[in-house]
Amino acid sequence: MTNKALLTEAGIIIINDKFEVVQSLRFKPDSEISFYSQIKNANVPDVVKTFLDNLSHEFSDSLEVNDQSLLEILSKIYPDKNFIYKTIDSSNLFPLFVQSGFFSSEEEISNFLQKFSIEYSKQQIRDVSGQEDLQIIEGINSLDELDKAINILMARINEWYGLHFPELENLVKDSNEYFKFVSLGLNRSSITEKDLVSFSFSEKKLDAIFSAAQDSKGGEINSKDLSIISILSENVINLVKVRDKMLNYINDLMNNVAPNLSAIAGPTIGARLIAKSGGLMKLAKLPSSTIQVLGAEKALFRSLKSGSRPPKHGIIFQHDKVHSSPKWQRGKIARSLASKIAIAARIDVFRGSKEIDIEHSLDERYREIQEKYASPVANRNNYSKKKHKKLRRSMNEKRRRTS
Amino acid sequence: MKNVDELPNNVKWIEVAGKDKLATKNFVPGNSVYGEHLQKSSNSEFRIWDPYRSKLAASIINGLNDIPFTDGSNILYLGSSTGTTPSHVSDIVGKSGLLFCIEISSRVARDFIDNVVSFRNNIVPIIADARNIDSYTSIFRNIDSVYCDISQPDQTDIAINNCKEFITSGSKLLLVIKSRSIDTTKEPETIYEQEMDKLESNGFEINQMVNLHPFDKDHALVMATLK
Repeated sequence: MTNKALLTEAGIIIINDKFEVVQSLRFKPDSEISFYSQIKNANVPDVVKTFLDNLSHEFSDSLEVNDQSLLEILSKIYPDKNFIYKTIDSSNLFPLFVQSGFFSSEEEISNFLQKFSIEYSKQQIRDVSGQEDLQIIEGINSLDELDKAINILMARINEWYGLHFPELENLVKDSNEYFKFVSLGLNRSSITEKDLVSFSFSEKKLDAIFSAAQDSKGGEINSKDLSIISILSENVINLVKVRDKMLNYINDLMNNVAPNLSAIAGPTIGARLIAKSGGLMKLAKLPSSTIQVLGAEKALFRSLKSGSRPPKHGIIFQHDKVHSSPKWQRGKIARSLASKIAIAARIDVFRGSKEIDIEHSLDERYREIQEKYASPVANRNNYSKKKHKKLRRSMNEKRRRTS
Repeated sequence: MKNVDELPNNVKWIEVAGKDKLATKNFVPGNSVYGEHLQKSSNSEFRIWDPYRSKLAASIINGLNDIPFTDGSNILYLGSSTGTTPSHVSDIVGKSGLLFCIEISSRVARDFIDNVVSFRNNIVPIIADARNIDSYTSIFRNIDSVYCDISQPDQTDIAINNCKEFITSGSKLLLVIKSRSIDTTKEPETIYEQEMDKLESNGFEINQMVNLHPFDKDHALVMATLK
């Protein structure tokens, strides 16, 4: 005869093969969630530990367990005993609850279990929402959106102030200075040297601005128009400041949460990879071939469907080593970079500490590619349909094996 | 197409602005879950069921018959998402039925709990991977049928495993086949066939398949009975 140990929402129940309760431990009412989730995360509260420690006389050499986490905990306490994973029919649950004295009526049980499920779900959401990589994802997405917004608004202000003083754009090339200029809300016909002291313009530049202002092709503008443009411009300057802060924030966070990934890919690209894959843990579980083309899904699926050349790089194209290399080296570098990223992300998740000199192996391979493929290989065949079919076949096989 | 006898309990056609629309009897009168229109009809309030947002509604409009959901059904719902379809199924099963909703993403489960579960006491939310039945909290009723709408390449296997664990022979599975989630390179029809073969070789009998066109592209819903 084999006894069974059951982890339930209300407590742990030990039954014999006739489904009679031989031992039970009721979790402290109103703290069931805490007990249950601790056990699910392989932590053992003291009360539970004492209970499990005193179980030895309830089974001889093997015990069936309905929960993998409880099974692991038990195998640690009793290393030389045999534990078998086996679920029980849920219809047995209610009588067992009543027999072990946890509850007195079916209605009470239903209400408890339903409430438990809702509260446990809320707890899970709370736990997940507190993860630091979610802050990275929101941060990097904010950064990208700030960039977009700043670009759009800058183009708009250029256009708007350009109605009044079109020559300024070519005279003040630095965008920060240009928008600072606009934010002063100056009418070009009344600009004085005093207005521009906060800029570090040379004499020559100042003269050019004044003469351009005198002889401008721009139209007249009234103070109301100027004041609204200057407010807009001021806010864009503020957005640029926010953007810089955001970048620093992401760099700090990435160096903390994913130091190895940051070292290999750089903090922003690392953060984009985390955002694209949905979290650091998910990134760590991806094969490097997927990491290589993350962000190039459109090209990848086009390639799978039509047999055109597959993309060489997705997000990682933004990496210096990839986009600043000659075209024929990029694929090789991207592949090597992606594989190092996969390793780095896994170290970040499972070890959590910075690996000294992790960049070294990438640099080594980078130099090797640069030397070996210094000039493009002549007469390379185009990506062939035959090769495509082979790729498809191997993908299908892989899928069959995993399913 | 519009057979009134075939509709499940608490579901009916309602005329809105001259057009017949599918609707379910609101389990929580006055409460609109995702901005759907509420309409009084024969002394009860009904919620208009949008086929463009709910694949079950789309399949009913496209001719799915004998849906196993009715007053008092206990249903295992895989992939509840933000709860558009579950809210209508919750209307159908009413106060004596119970809906066990499995969802893997805690982000959409947050909306699901806020917008649906907190108003409807016939839903039990479970945040878990449907591949890992061990991680469910107790499914404490005998399940009458399974509804599966998940975007994974192995969606059919997931549905089969859950059916084997929770339903007995004669019970039904409603499976949404998302051909684009299974394989983007194959024709949808090929995939429907392939997934139905998979069901049959795992002891299911196919009752009916409906294509969800024009409401959803490259989707089909299959109803099968466990033998």
